[in-house]
Amino acid sequence: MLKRILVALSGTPFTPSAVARAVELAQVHDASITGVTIVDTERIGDVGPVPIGGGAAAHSLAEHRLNITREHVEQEIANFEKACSNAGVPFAVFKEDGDAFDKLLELWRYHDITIIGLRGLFEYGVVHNPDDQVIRLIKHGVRPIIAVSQEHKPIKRVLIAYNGNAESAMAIKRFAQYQLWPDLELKLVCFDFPEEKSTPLLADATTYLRAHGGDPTAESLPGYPEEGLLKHARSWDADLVVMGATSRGKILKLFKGTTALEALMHAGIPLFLSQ
Amino acid sequence: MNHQEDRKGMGPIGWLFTLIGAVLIGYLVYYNIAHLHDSHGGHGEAHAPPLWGLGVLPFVALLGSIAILPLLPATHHWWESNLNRLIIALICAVLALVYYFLAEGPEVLLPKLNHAVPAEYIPFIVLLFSLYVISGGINLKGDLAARPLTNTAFLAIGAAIASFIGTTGASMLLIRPLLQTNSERKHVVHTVVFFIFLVSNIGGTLLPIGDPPLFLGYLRGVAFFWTFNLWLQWAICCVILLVMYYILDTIAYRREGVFDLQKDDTQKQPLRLRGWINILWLAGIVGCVATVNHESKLWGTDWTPFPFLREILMFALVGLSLITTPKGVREDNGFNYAAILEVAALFIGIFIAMQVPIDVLRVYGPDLGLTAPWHFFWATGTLSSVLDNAPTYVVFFETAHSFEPQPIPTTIIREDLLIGISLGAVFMGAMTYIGNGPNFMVKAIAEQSGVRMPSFFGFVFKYSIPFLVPVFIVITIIFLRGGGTPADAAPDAMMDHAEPHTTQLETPQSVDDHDH
Repeated sequence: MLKRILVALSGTPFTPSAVARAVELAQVHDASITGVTIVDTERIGDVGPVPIGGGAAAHSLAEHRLNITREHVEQEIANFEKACSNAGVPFAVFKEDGDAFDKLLELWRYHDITIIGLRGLFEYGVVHNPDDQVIRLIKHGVRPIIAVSQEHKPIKRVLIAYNGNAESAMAIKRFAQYQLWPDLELKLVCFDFPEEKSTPLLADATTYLRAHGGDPTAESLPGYPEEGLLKHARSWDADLVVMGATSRGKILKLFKGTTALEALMHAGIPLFLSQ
Repeated sequence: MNHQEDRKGMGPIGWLFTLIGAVLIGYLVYYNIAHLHDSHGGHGEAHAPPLWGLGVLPFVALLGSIAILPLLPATHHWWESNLNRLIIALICAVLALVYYFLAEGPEVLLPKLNHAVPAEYIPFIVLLFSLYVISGGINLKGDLAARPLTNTAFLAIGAAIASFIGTTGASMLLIRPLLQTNSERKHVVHTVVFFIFLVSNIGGTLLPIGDPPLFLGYLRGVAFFWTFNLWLQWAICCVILLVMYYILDTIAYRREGVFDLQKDDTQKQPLRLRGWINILWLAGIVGCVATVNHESKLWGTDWTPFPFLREILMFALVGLSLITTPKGVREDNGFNYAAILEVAALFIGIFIAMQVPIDVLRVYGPDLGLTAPWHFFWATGTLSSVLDNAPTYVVFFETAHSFEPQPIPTTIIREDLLIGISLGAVFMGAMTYIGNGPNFMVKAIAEQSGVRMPSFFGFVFKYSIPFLVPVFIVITIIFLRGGGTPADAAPDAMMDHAEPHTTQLETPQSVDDHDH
């Protein structure tokens, strides 16, 4: 059961969808929502190296960025308050200054779940963030996370990726325990396992999910999850994918490519992540 | 202290610094005039001062401070004050002078200061100040249909006028109407980037007033119109980049939404030039620099101007600009004096602290292994990409000078090397946001107009390396392959090839052939 939901009012194209998802879950679970804006003034004011004679322009640019950010923050808060009020959902707003990861970690301690966009975190149209913010947040300890796409769709079909490791097991457990949405169609998949391994693995996971009221189908698929999971999520028309969070460094990506999680994030498929 | 405090006033320390500075500079000007016929710091037998490794430290420290202090959280805000910048610059300058005092005795101090301040810093800063203030009084407003041909024409015009009004002036004049023209379009980043390439840098190749390093070359004896010899390199570079830009913008234009393009077509405003009288004053500046020189006769007369007449005339033109520019034009340009004060504060230190490395390069220049024009092009250019291109130009100019027979005749320099140095300093200032002052100003204005500009490395890897470097390779292959054996640096070889390989330059600093 959810009682307190934390939603990042990030000032990205994903934010309206994150707020809508938070409101939807708050209504289902009779929960309250905390909307948080975080302005990292040091980062926003960092305009990079400046040539001789560019100091005034740099100062003016930093001020402009901060003003734009503050305007975005106010706009995000107004939109959030309006969405919550219209839905009759109790809410609170936290306006924070400082490091996004540290502040979110502080707030996460008193919330059950965090909802953010698939890409971009507290950018407010000013700073550029790398695409791995969600994974970094999970590694910092903020979990579980629902990472939403720009499009807000009802969640009906959930694909659960399971490979038997601790991260994916934790994701399944959290997802099953929370029972986020009623009447879900669930499907468990694993990749690249011989039948003698995949059958007991999927059977155990199915039993666990059934114990929590789910009724999943299960399938062992050939090929690697890096390629297969995204394809299968699309062909099965999954509204959400549940999985453990893994990523690779830049060098490893160069040789081995992106992980299945990164591929899904890039493709804009909503995710439920834990570790 | 931040900029708000700056605006409140300098405070007693600031005024004290200004007073001491004015007295010192006044004395140096007096010294310069009184010792008009003495040799400058660059003449005579070249020798590296003892323990010069210590002597170059203030110069390195100053360049390091300029690069690092704005980035450190602890010093970031402190560095925003021009007074604090001046303090650091003066500390480095004083350290360089203390080194000279200890290494070579008190008698070298005034000649060194004379060479650094009245002979170079004052003309340099007065020119920059004049161009900055006068061009800041011209305002171009309007919103044309942002078609690829229109944008390309904007860039071409900017590249053509940058040599005459300076890269900063051309950038500030054209960037706002270009952004206004493109305000309805979504894909604008490449336009701003190519504007930085062409208008803020490469366009300033043809005259010493186009880009500060070329003016330093002029102060060191390069003839005023010598830079026109670079027209072919300038033209080829501009044409290639304009073609590249046109193709890119045509592709980007097709990606724009129909609604945005319709809006662009309906929301038009003809171009309107205000403060056009300043074009006249800018022409006056060009005329002053080209003709008024206290070491040669005024063109068409038998009269030799007195020292600093050029600077006095430029100040007068600035005064005329301030009086005649319609009210509100400079405000519309977002004009203030902060940028030029920053340049003035830092360059006083750079010019003084630079004397030691210059002395060293005059002796050890040949040991650097730079012999061919393309060596100088790429070495000057690479450093100009990440450091200010004016001191970089001087460093490599002096390195090239060290190849000359001893004692150094300051009027002779190998022309092919000068071409490499000039092109490297001007062209490759475009490689990063910090290669040239206007680059960052353009980026800041674009961002404030809603264009999401690439990061420092995004600019380099997404634009400079893919688009500029191939053009520079073409320029290298066509123009800079010749010369380049160590023997070229030997005095005998120099003399053998004196006619085809060296250029007789103007002699503003020379006294030997002075006809007073």
